[in-house]
Formats: sequence, structure tokens, C-alpha cells
Amino acid sequence: MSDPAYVEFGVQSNFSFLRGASKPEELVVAAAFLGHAGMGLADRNTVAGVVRAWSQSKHVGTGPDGKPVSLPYHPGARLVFCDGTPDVLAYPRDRRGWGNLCRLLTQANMRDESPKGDPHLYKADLLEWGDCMSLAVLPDVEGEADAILVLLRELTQRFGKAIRLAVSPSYSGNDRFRLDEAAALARAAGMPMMATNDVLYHAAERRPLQDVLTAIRLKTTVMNAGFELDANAERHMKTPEEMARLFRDHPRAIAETVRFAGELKFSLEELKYNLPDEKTRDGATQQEELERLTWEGAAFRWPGGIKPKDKETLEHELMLVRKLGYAGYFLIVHDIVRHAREELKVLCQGRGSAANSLICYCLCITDIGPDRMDTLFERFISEERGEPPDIDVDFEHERRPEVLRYVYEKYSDKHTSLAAAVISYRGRSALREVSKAMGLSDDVQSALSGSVWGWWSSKMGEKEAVAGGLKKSDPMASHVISLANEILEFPRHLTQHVGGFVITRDRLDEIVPIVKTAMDDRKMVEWDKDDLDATGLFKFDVLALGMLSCLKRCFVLVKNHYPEEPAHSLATIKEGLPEVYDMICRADTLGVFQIESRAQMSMLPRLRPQKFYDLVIEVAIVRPGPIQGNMVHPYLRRRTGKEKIEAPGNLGKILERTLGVPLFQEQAMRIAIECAGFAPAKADKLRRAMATFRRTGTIHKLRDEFIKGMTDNDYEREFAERCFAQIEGFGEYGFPESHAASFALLVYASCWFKTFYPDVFCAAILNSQPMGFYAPAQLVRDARDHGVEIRAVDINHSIWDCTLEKAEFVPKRILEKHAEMRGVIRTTHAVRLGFRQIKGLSLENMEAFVEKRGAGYESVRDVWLRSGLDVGAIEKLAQADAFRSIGLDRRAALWQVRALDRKSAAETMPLFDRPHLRLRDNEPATCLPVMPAGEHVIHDYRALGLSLKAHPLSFLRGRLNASRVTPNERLPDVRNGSRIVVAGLVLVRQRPGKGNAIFLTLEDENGIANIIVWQRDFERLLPVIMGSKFIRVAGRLQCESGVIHIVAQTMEDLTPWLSDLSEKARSIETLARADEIKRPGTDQRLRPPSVHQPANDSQAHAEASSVMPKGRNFQ
Amino acid sequence: MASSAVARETIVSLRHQIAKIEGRLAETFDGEHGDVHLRRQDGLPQGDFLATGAERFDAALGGGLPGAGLTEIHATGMRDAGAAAGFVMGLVHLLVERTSSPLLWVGLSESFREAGYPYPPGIRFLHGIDPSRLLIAQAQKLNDALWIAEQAASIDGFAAILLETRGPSAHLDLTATRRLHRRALDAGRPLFLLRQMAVCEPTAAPFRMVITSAPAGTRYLLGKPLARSIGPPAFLVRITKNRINPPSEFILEWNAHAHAFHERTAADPVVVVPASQHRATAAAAPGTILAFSSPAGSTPAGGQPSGEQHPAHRGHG
Amino acid sequence: MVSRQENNTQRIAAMDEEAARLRLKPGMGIADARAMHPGIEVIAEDAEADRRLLEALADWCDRYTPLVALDGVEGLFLDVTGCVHLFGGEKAMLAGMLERFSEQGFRVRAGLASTPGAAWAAARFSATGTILQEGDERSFLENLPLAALRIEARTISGLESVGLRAIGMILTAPRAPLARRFGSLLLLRLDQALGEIEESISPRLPVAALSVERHLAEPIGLVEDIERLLLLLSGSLRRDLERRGEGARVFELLLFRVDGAVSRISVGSSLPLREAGPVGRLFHERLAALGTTLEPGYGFDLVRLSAFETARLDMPQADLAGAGSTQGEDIVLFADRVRARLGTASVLQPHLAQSHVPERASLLVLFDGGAGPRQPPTVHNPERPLRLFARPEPIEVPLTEVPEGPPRNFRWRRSVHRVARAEGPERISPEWWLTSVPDVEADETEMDKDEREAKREAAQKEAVAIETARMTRDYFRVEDSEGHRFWLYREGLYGRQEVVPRWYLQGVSA
Repeated sequence: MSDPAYVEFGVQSNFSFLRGASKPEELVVAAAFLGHAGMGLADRNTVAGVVRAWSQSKHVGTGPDGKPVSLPYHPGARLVFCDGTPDVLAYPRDRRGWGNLCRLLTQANMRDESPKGDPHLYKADLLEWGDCMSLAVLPDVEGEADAILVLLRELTQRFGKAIRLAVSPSYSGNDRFRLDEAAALARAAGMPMMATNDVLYHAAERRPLQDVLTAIRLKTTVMNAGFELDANAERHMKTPEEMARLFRDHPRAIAETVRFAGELKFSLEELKYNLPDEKTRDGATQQEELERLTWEGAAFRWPGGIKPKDKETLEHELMLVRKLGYAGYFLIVHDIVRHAREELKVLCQGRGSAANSLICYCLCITDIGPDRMDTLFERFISEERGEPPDIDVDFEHERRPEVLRYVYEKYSDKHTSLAAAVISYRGRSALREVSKAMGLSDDVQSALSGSVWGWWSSKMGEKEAVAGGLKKSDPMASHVISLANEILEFPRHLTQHVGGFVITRDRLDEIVPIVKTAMDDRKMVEWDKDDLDATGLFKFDVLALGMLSCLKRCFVLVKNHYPEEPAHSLATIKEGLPEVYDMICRADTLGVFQIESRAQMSMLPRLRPQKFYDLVIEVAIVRPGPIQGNMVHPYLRRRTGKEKIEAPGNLGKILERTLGVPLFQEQAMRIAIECAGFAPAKADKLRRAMATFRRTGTIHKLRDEFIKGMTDNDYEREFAERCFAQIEGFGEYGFPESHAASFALLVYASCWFKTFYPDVFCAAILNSQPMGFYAPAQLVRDARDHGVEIRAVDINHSIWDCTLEKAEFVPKRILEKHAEMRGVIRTTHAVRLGFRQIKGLSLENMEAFVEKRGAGYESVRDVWLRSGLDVGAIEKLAQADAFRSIGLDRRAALWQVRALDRKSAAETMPLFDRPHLRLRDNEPATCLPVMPAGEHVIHDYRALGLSLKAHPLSFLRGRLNASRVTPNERLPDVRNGSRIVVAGLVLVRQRPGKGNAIFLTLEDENGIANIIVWQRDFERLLPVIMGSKFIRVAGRLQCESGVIHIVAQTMEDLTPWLSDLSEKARSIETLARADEIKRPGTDQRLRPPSVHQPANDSQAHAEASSVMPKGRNFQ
Repeated sequence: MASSAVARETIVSLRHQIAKIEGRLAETFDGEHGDVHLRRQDGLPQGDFLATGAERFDAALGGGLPGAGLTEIHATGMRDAGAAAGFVMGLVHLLVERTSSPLLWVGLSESFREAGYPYPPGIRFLHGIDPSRLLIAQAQKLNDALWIAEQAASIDGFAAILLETRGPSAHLDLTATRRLHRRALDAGRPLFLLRQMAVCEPTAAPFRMVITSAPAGTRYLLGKPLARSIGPPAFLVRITKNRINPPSEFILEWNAHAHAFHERTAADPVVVVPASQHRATAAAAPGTILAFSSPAGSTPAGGQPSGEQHPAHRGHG
Repeated sequence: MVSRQENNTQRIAAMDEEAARLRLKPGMGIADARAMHPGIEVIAEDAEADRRLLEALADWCDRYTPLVALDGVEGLFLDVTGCVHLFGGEKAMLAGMLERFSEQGFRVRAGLASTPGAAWAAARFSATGTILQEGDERSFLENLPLAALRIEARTISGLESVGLRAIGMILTAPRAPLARRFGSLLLLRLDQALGEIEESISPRLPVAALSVERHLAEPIGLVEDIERLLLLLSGSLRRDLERRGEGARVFELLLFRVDGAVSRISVGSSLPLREAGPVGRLFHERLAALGTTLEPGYGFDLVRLSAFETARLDMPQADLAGAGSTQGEDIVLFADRVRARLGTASVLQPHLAQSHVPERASLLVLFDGGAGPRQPPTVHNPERPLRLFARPEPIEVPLTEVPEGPPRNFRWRRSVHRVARAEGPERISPEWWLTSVPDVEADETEMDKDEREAKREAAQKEAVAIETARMTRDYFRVEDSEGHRFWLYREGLYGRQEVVPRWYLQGVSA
């Protein structure tokens, strides 16, 4: 410790949003490095950053003994008032003081007049809650002395010795005056003066970033921010010596910081373990209650009696729970799941580290029992880490609010709230906001941010600058890039976590401040999941999953239309059916959970899943992590027996199930612990280092330790290095086995429906949109390929949702490629599309429409008179060609809709309440041209996003044949390796993992072509790939395990061809082409003479093709 | 501080009113150039008097500075250009406050280069004159500057005109100043002739003052003076030409907050520090003393460099 | 290409042939275009500039007829009724017009018809230079798409959705159902184009009460020539005014430049004027004031003098510029006079900028005749000197305190000042965004790319830190032993090997 001792208390981190320019961790490290005797963190009306700083303060370096060195650390807040009261630094002295601070902030946050994230704080709040804290007020010492003195005296009277006057040098030329004035004021008010530097960043180099933040905050540019920017870079952490020099005339102000610190006895440690007691029967203890429920559950799960092995496992688990005191946690989850399932009838499933325990199986939190796979108790609870267990529960996404409401009602907002999620600057947003603050033009901004293909944080450099049309050497570009890199991972604001809850026994608002969320009735705490983890508070996740909604609809549809089918829940779907696995092996998985992506589909025929655990692996292996970690091919080779399993020592046991390839986070942890000799806490640090702090460089140190640890345990160095590389690969995207297992169950369930009841699956998934990879057009088409009849939306037959209508199933309709399904599919219904497919209609209106339909609508006018729909909505129905059942095609219906008064019937018609009059219109007949089929298809796509009438390409087949395009359905007959030309609409563009290949899915009227573009061709082909909706590809066909790819060599944008479908294009072609003045030397930058120029195919093209889907882009 | 300034202002304006009632105004102008005759045609003097707030000074001028006509302000040394400008701007402030018209500052490029260009942020700080009220005209030659000033004096638009020249000049003789004076009187506007490095030449201006810097006052901290601080600027004002009173001398302070002059009296706790005491005051400043070897190679002034001495380096040539 | 902001996305508004070859299309998103062709050059649309250009063209068209109207953002209507004979008939007029536009580098489409609607369609949907004879409108329009009707895009798409795509189909359809469905504007436009309903254009500029002009075979450029010609023109104008017993308060001089640019100079007077002398003198002042901003280029080939705001003038006119009376002349005119005599740099006004750097915080800029600079209100009012030197003047400081004390004494302009009192420092750092980040080359031998990048960045940061320390100023307000107050600063902070602090005096205080 250096002399003089000094503690900085006026510290704002980047959780003082858009003001502080350093992370809490950086500030702590800087304070320790500069030799401070401690540090306080006081962000503006928030404690959102205190936990991060606290975690860092426990380890600011390594001492000579190898033990971590810590820095005395004090969490607090800077109270910023809206009533003109000067800022006050508030530091709790003890647990009660902390509670007071949290109450104070909560009270301000919850005020009606406080916008989200901007609490309105008044002096009265401080007077009310300021007890048990040490306070320091920061008056504007150059202001009106009398007014300041009045306030200071008031504060002294209220808080006595707890209050100080804090002052910082400002380098505005007046410092001597300011400090002397402060000293005089303090003396006059009878309070000590305390030094601070009012820190905004840990080092002077952060000043540019702080200026940028200021500009972002004020929505201006740095150049225009003017006097809002500080004149200098002095608000950084300074050495105690420097502080002493600045306060040389007031040495006691420096000493006062140490005295202030001495009063602060509170540590965040004190908040640990705060779990409410669940109600138990007959006053049993939590543990007793859990054991009772578990054994009752066991009796339900195994009516024939529990196997000794399972019994033993259960006993072991219960023992562990007792030892760690986690029984209450299981009881809470159990209660919520029970309530959702039994009272609310909501489909749900647990996952997470503790979810796949046998206890959870018995408590019906999950349905993955020992018959599906061995229990996954590996990462259940780490005894040593002392981390609370983690169970996430997925619910139907549409019904999750009901579950949330239950949680709120049960625990009341005094004890429960959502966790926060910190929205941080990522590559794209960082570049966009920094370049905006630096005054770059809009298009450079969008070009720069558009150049970042992912959402994650990765360093930006030359590539991005070039994309924005800048050179890295250009001064502005280098500023923007280096500042954007600096702002990466800075928090932007807090938002509610998607479903993370914290539940406490003590008043929650005395543990952590509660803030508003964007939704009126939801509140959240200021800490995110990691913060809650670090403070040892319990949280669990109530998550929303689209597939659960879809499956729930499947169950309901099956129950209503196929009463003989016994599958009514996840647990009652029969496991291990070969028909289902056969379908999966054929990669006929469009629309199902997880394994529907191109990458997954191409893996299925090679991996050939035969049992449940294969699905678990399938879910986990086709992810960026394992792909980057190079695990896919070794696993495939070993699975097919082409390679020996190599897993020396303890590895054999750990990697047994995954054939010696580490796939899961649990395995990585165990390798670190058992093979590299890491302590569990250190292994956890390794996981976090790989996941979040890749940039800090600690990973290198851990890598060395890991390899040393393994070689010490007699593993070969090369092997150890490979091991680490593999673990590192999936560190960022790694998938725990427990999650994979829960997902695999949903994979199987969705495949089961698709296998046996494609009609049910199609209707259910259409009704659950948006979800998944594919658009309704593909889902409908897939169902038709499997023989399901799809019926069009109609005013007299449809309701909002897609429904099933009894229909004869004709197995012959099943396409040849799905021929194996002919004996498998049990469908006896057709799918009637619902009004939800029509773009722009509202559920509420259409429900009323259906209700008033009675025996059916007779005419457009009848609809207008009776349905209560406005003309706009009726027009949408006409656009969607939904009047066929009354004999009107699209054009005729539109003509009639046009004649309706724009106002609603109710507004204009005195006869509205007498619709039975059925007034007729008399007007001269107008002869309208018949709409050609191609035009119909365009309109279908525009209104519905799909057409049942024909595929757009069917109209172009003649032209395609002429240009020697092979239809996609004929691809299986093409010899491997031959050159081929295919064409189709772009469905999906995918650029997975590191992005060295782009996958395209092209669709024609009868099939799909899978295109691969390698990185070397990007530059050449990217314009076509990104800019086209309809592409012709010439390339070489590759076939592996029945998976067909075409490696693209050349591409052509055929999008203009789509205009051939349009009636307009053809009518315009007959018009004379206007001449153009073409002279050399014309100024090229001038506007073309007129945008009205006719016969310009770009215009007709734009209209016809704009209707077609653009294709979806995936990471 | 503020309240005393308000009180002072009140007294000043009261005094001013009394002076008007007593009709002392007419007496303060003599008829040497027939001005009085001219003005009395309509029974009233054109322009009135600007009470500066410093009573004795105002009295010496016969009630304040004339609100119309030429007034000469001299700065003998170039270093006093700042003080002279500050003093004039203090006077101008009184005028600008009464109208919405701008102020025209006419100068020679040479005088601006040598003494510095007017710096509006400083004028705003010290005199409260908004920069948008300031117009600056510069000419290469004195004749042109005179022409500008004359033209400006003959229009209605300016609250005051400040003509700044440098050194003695044959062009700025009695005739020229008379023309200026006449123009300004006709327009009812004051025209200040600020002459840097001037010598006393004959002038038609009723008053001529020589301005020198005087040590500033101090700043106050909760009613107590703050040692070594630089407070309100002060001027040594010598009226060297005065048709109604004998030459006199004043030390005036400009109060930037109250925007008023104030005569420094013996009672003021002001450090009119003799030069000999400066060393002691300055030496009180803490920190390490750093000596540079002067370019002439002479031994550095001040004490022995301390241990933290910065490596000596070249000064500026 | 030119981009336009539409609903939060950048779209292509216009582009050149090169871009068209790349399959880019107007209306496409810029981001999409960039994804296809990262190298394209994008300029943000400047609607204001486009409008100005169109107005300039409209000005130029004044030479054909005073009845020129703007049509949207890309068209002009010229009502040439009664003017055609001056230019040798319709055909010659149109051909001449097109040729002159093309000489100026514009690609123009033109059509001439007896109704504005038909002319509009002819210009856009037919070979350029098309001239429709009266009565041919119907047969001409029949084959054109609906867009030729000047109707809203919504109406067009509504009509198209029921299959009505050509104007001919609408001409034959029953009118009542059409009006019911698509509004009366459709039929109005139709009737207007056919000439069944009269349509007049609204000229952009007020038509002058009187004007006289002269076409010049030999273009002129000298101000003297212009003034001479002006005198002649105002002589003719005087006769016209006299005949009407009127004078005018506003006169406008239009100078048509050979290359198409038009300068418009107008003078106003508080009393109606008629005589050539005073009118000429007013223009003399204005022309003198314009100075070099009036660019004759290759000369003016048409000069027109117009009179506006005419009023009865009964009394003989006295010479306004008569001796003595300058009553009412305002500061602007005063400034004009000064600048006319001593150059534009002779009258200056302060322009305040929000910068901490003193020399950037306030600039003296050319007086623009406005009512003084509109300064944003600011609470930031730091203590500053009264006068600032054009350039900070280096001073010698033999003795100071480190790290950040004031000088003990200093030598400025050959005399030594002993510092009696000092306040400071006020620290002002450089405006970093104006400085460049030095490009530091990292050691290429470094193995790890990440590590290399990190090292490079660290080196860059260090370089920036040094540069900042070098450029940071510590300002002091000092009073010397004689009571003079100065504002001086040290540039460069102590404590860094690489930084050699220097002292400057930047201003003097009262």
C-alpha cells in the first residue's frame, strides 16, 4: 500500500449508461494497480454494475504465494436528483443500509413519472431512506454559496457524522478557488471534506470513448456536442500521490476517504442464499416434503416397482440435495410445473443442469426417464462450486404469460421479479452507433454495420472499413474502428430477461433495486443471471418455446380428429418407433424441431439416428462449436467404424457415450477436472473464459495450465493440445448434454407427428407461425408432397386458424421420393387454410366475421353489410381470392369491393340493421379481362405468401428447358460428379459457423436443390446470391450418403423472368419502346430522364418479383 | 457581493437622475466649438451622460461620460491595450445595454495584429455584451479606418463606435478629430477613439483619458478575500484633457458580475501590491520549481532546482 | 448512385448506366445493393439541390415564356401559347430547346400538345420531341399505360388489379362504375388530357408588370457593359411606365448566361421609381456589392429588366441619391459600402462555435448582412481574455513549477514580465477527432494474429496518448508585477519523455 492512503469513491462505470466509459472490472483493476487502498462504485441511480466489480475485486492479481489478491471494495450508488439537489454518493454501512439503498432506488424507479431507466429521485427520498449509509454530497461549489449552505446544514442535521462534502478538481482554471470554497463550505456546514476525482473512466485514454458516449446520449455527433464534452481527459483514476498533490492544501480531504471506507462494513456476500420456504404438508420440512413427493412420483412413473439401480440413484440425489439445502428450489419448480400442467393445461418441459436428474423425472419436471437414456447426473450440482442448481422450464410460447402471472401471484412482487438481461454493444450496433456519433453519413454507417455478418462480438478491422468504403489508414476510419472495438460489450441498457426469475425469502427490494420494464405489469431486478449467480441468489427460467405450442396444437388436433390415437402428451408418445427414425434418416424433416436446417439435414443420412441418444448427439453435434472444434468427422468415422476410438485414461469413461469425442459442456468440465487436475471452481472459470471473456487474454494462461495439467497426468502433449482445441471450439456455443436431451425429446415428438399425421403437423405448425426455418409455402408444399390435401382460404369455410376437414387420403398422391411413407401415414383429413395466412387481417375482426357468418355469406355486399369488416379487410379477402365459394374469382371480387363505400357499413347505411333486405346494386356491367394463371399466382403470393394453384416456376418450365436446366426432382438420377444446371427460387441462404461456405436452397415446382458456394467464389457470386430471388446455378453435383449438393461454379440472376408471370409485363411489351438519347459524354450522375419510362423491364420486374419471397437468411 | 452591487447601481442611477433634475448637464459642455449652440437649437442637449458608477470619476466628467461625441482613450504602452479595451468596453456596456443596436469596433489590421483581435467570448464574460452585438471593421490604412468610422457615425444603426489606432499619426489631427466629433454629435452617438501607443496631440474630443493597468482586486470566498487570486480588473485612469475640471486620476475596478465601475478607495481590501512583494506571494505557490537555462545562457532566476528537476531544455527563440 | 431515405431504409433513388449494368434497380435497398456489390459508390440524395437545379432550369426557360411551372420534382410545364412564333414555329422551338439543353449536358424529354395532360404524356411516353396535333390526343393516349395519366400510384394499382392496364380500356369502360371505385380525379385527368376540361398551369414566379429585354449577338460580361445596357433598358422601361403613369418599387435584372445559368438581381426602393438614373445607381450599388459573386462565365446573351409592384406616380421624381440624405440607410447598406470600397474582408462578425479550444471557439467571419449571428444559448461562459492574438505568440519561460504550475516570469516581445499572481491551470485537451491515429506496424513475426492485433492496438493507443500529452494545453491567467493581465499556456504535459512543453501567450485581458 502506498502512502498516502486513498480510496476513490466517486466512480461511475459504464453502467452509468452512456456516461461512464470503463467497465466495472477495469475500474477495479486500475484502482488496485494504482495502489488505492480500496474502491467504491457508485453508478447513477443504479447498482447494476456492483456485482461485476465485486467479483473482480476478489481477484485483482496474484500474490507471491499464488493466492489471489483482493481489493477492499464497497458497493454504492450515486444518487442523482431531479429536483436540483446536488449528487450524493451513497454507500451502505451494513446490510440494513444496503436494504435502504435498494428501497430508495426502487421507490424512485417505480414512480409513475419515472420513465424506464430514468428514475426521478427527490431529496425527500434521501431523507427518508438515508440511514445506515455513509454519504458524500457533491455540490457545485461555484454556485450560490448561501443556497448550498442551507442544504448542507439540512443534511448535517439529518445525517450527522455520516455525511461529507465531496469535491473534485476540475482543471477549469479555478481549482484553487473551488477547493478552498469547498473547504470553507464544509467548515461552515460542520462536515468533513472528502477528496474524489469524480471518475468516469479508468485511464485517460478512454476520453475519446467518453466523448462518443456523450454524443450518443445526446443523439448528436462528437463534432456537434460542443461544450457537452469535457475540455480535458482528467476524469480518470489517479494515483494516490497525484490526488494528494491536487489536494495539497487540503490533506485531510485525502485522509477522509480512508475514514469513510472504514465505516463501510457491508459486503454483497451477505445477500447469499435467500430462498423462500415452500408450503409443506403437515408442517414437514422442505427436505421431507421433497422426498415424499419424489417417492410418490417414483411410484407413478414405475407402477410396476422401481428398479434397484434407479432407487439407488434417487437416494444419492436426495442425499446431495439435503446436504446442500436445495430442497426448496426443487419444490418451487415442481409447484410451478404442476400448476402449469394441471391447472393451466400448458405443455411444458424442464431442462438445465438439474433437470435431467431422476428427481425431476419423478416430479414430472421432465419426461426423460432412464428408459430413454441413462440418467444425466453428471453436472447435476457441483458440490464444490456451491452454485445453486439450474432448472429451465420451457412452456408453450403463447401461454407463458399465464405461468408468469401465477408466479407473481404466488410470491407477490415483494419476493419475485424477472432477472435483467444486459443489452450490450455488439459488432454491428457498435459500428453503427460509433460511426453515427462520429458524423459519418447514413450510408457509410449502414455499410459499415452491414459488413458485420454476425451478431456476436468479434474484433473489427480492415474488412469492415473497406466495406464502408473507408481505408483503415483513413483517420476517421481508424477512429471509428478503434472506438467501436472499445465500446464492444459495453452495456447499452437493461432489459428483462426472457424468463429468468429470482425468488427470495426476504423482501426482494431490500436485496436489489427493482426497475420497470418495457411492459407495464412486469418488473425486473437490476442484476442479470450472472450477477444473481455471483451473489448466490436463486433464479430459474420460465422460457417460451414455439415448438411446444406447435406440439400442444398437435395433441389437441389428434385428440379431436383421431380419437383412437393414444398419444396425448409427451410422455405417451411411443418411443423407438422405426418408422419415425426411418423418416429422420431420410432427412425428411422439414419443419420439425432442431434437425430441420440444411446443415442438420445433410448430417442425418450420414449419422443415421436409430435411438433416442443418437438424437441427443445429433442436436448437439451440428452446431458451430463442434463444427469449429472439428468433432463432427471424427465422430462420424468412429460411428461408422472407420476409426478406432481413442480415449486414454479417465477420458474413456468421460467420453464413452460420445465415442471419445468431447461434445458436451459437462464433458469439457470433467476433462478439466479429472484429466487436467483443475479444481472445480477453476474449471468453471475456464468455461466462462471461453464463453465470454475471449478478449481478455486469460484464456492463454488457462490453456497453458490445462496442457500442463494433462501432461502431468501422463497424457501426451499433442493429445492434450488437441483436447483443448476441441473444448475451445465449442466453448462459445457449447451445448450441455442435459439441454440436448430435453431438446431431443421434442425432436422425436415433432417427428412422430410428421411421420404419422402430416395433416395434423401441417395445421399445427401453420397455426404456430412464425417459428422455425421454413415459410408457410414450404410447409404447405411438404404436406402436399406427403399426400395431404390443402384447401384454400375461403370466406365461408375458413376460420382464423388452419383446420382439419374430413377427406379421403390418397396414398398415391405421395410423391415418389417419399414413397416409403405410403404405408405409414395415417392421415384421413385435409387441411383448410385459415384467415391467419392472409397478410394484414386481425384475429379479433376475423373471429367476429366467423361468428356472424351464420349460414354463409352470399355476396361481397353481404359481407360488407353483415360481417362488420371494413372495406380494407374485405379487399384483403378479395386479394386472397377467398370468395370462390360464392362464385367470384379474385378479379370479380375486387371489382365489387371497389364499389363499396370506403366507410364501414355501420357508418353509412341506415339499413344496416336490416340486412335481410338484401339490397341489390344496379350499375352498368363492366367487362373485365380474365386474370391469367400466372397473375393469379403472383397475387396469391402477395396476399398469402404461397399459392395452391401452381408453383411460379411451372409457368417458366418451357424457358428453363430451353436453357437446359435440370428439374430438381430429377437430381437423384444424375451421376455423381457431373456438371449440371439447376434453377429455383431462393428459400434459404445460410452461412454457418465461421462462414467459409454459403448454403442455398433453391426450390422449383417439384423439388429442392441444395447449393454450396465456397469462400473462394464469394466475391464473384455474392451479388447474385444476395440480390436474387430466382437463380440459375451451374455446377458440379456431389452425392454423399444420399445427400445431394451442387457446388456452384457460375450463377445467374433469373429474377427478371418472374415478370413473365405478370399480365402487365406482356401488355407492356406491345407498347412502343421510347427512344433514349444516347450520346457519349453525358453526365453519368444525372437522373435518368424519367422514372415513368415505360417498357423498362426493371419496373415490371420489380412489381412481379417484389411479391415473391426474398428467401430467409440464417447464420 | 451581488447585493452590494445592486445597491451601488441603484445609487448610481439615483445620482444620475438628480444630476438631470439639477440641470447640471448644460454646464458641463463648454461652447468652444459652437456645439452647445447647435444642440440648444431644440432646447435639449443631444445624448445624455453615462454614469459609470464611480461617483468621483463621473463628477470629474461633469456627471458622467458624454453619450454623444468623441472621447479619446489613450494606452501609452502596447501592454495597456488590453486594459484600455477593457475600460472602453466597460463604458460601451452602458450604451449597449440601452439599445438593441450593435457596436462597431473599427481597427487597423496592424493594431489588431499587435494588440490582439477583439475576442467576443472574453467580452461576453467580462462585460456581458453578446457577441451577436459586435461588428468589427478593419482597414489597412488609417484614412480608411477614419472613413469607416465617419460613415458609421453618420448612420443611425450603431449603439457606439470604437475606433482603434496605433501610434501617432498626421492624419489624426485636430481637423480629423473635429470631423469625427461632429459626426458623432450629429448622430447622438458616442465615438471612442482608442489610441494605442499614443502621444498627446491636439484633439477636438472634450475628454482625453490615459489608461494603464492596475493590479486586479481579489476574489472572495464566503466573504473573505482569497489570497493570490485575480479578481475584478482595475485601471488607472488619468483624465489628461478635461474642459470642465482639472486633470485628475482614479483607480477604477470593473465588476464583471454587476457590470459597473467602482472606484477603489483606501478602505477596499485590495492588494495594490507593491512590486517588491510579488516575489513573496508567488513563492508561496507549492510545487516543484523548474528552471530552464535561458537562451542567453544566463543563470536561471529563482532558487536551486529541486530533486524532481525536469531536464532542462531549450526555450523558445 | 444516389440514395434516398425512405421509412428508415436507404434506397436507390437514381443511378447511372454503369449501375444499371450491374442489375441494380431504383427502389432497391442500399444495403442489398452493397451486399451484391460492396464497391458501389453511393451519394445521399439532396432533394434541395435537385429542386434548386430544377428551378434554375425553370429560370432558364423564362427565355421562352414567362409562364413556367414546376411539375413535381422532375418536370417543367411551359405554356408557350402565343410565344411560338418568336422562335420560328413549334417544331423549331422544341428542337432548339432540346438542343440547348443537351448542350448544357442535360438529358431532357419534351413533348408538345394542346393540353398539359397530353403534353405530359407525350414527353414521358413517346419519342422525345413529339408534337401532338390538336384532336390527336385520344388516339395517342389510347395505347399508353395508366401511368401516363398523372394519377396516384394507388389508383393505378387498383385499376391494374382488376385488369385495366391501358388508358384505352378506361376510355371505353362505363364512367359511373369507374368514378365510384377510383374517384373523380381519374376522370378529371382523362378529360383534361383530352382537352374536354380546361387546365391551366400555375406559373412559378409572378409575371412582371412590365419588362424589357435585349438579346445580344455578342455576349457581355463586364459590369460596365451590363450597367450601360441597364441604362438603355431602364430608359425603355421608363417610357412604358410613363405611359401608364406609374412607377415601380421593385426592379429585377435577369442575366441569362450563355451556359444556361440565370442571375437574378433585384433592388427595392421605398418610393416608386421611374427615372433611369436612380434605378441605375441602385443597381450600381448592388452590382458593386455583388463583386465577384456575379460570374459572367462566357457572358450573358439575354438581359431582361422587369418592374414589379408598380404604383401611381404623380409627382416628378427627385433624385434619391441626392446629397446628404442617408436617412434610413441601415447597417447592411453601410457594410455593403464599406466592403465595396475596402474589400469583403473589411467587415467581420463573430461566429461562436462550441469548442473548448479558444481559437476555434470564436471566429471572425465575413459579415453576411444578417442580423448578427444566431448563437445557440449556452451556459458555458468561461473566463476568457478580451483580445486574442491571431496566432499564439511563443514566450520564453525560464522558470516554472512541475508538473503543472504557472511560470515565475516570462519574456514576451523582448521584455521580461514577472508574474505576480496566477490562476490555473485550465486544461484543454486537443480535439482528438481532428487528429489522426498513427498507423503503427506491428511485428509481423508474431505468431498469433490476435496477439499481433492486440499489440498493434496497444502501440496505437500509446501513440495517441503521447500525441494527446503533447497537444494538451494548460492555460493560466497571470498578472505581472505592473498589473497587466495575460492569458498564456503551456502546450505539452510534463512527465513524458517524448514531450517537450512549450509556452505561448495567446491573449491579453483587461
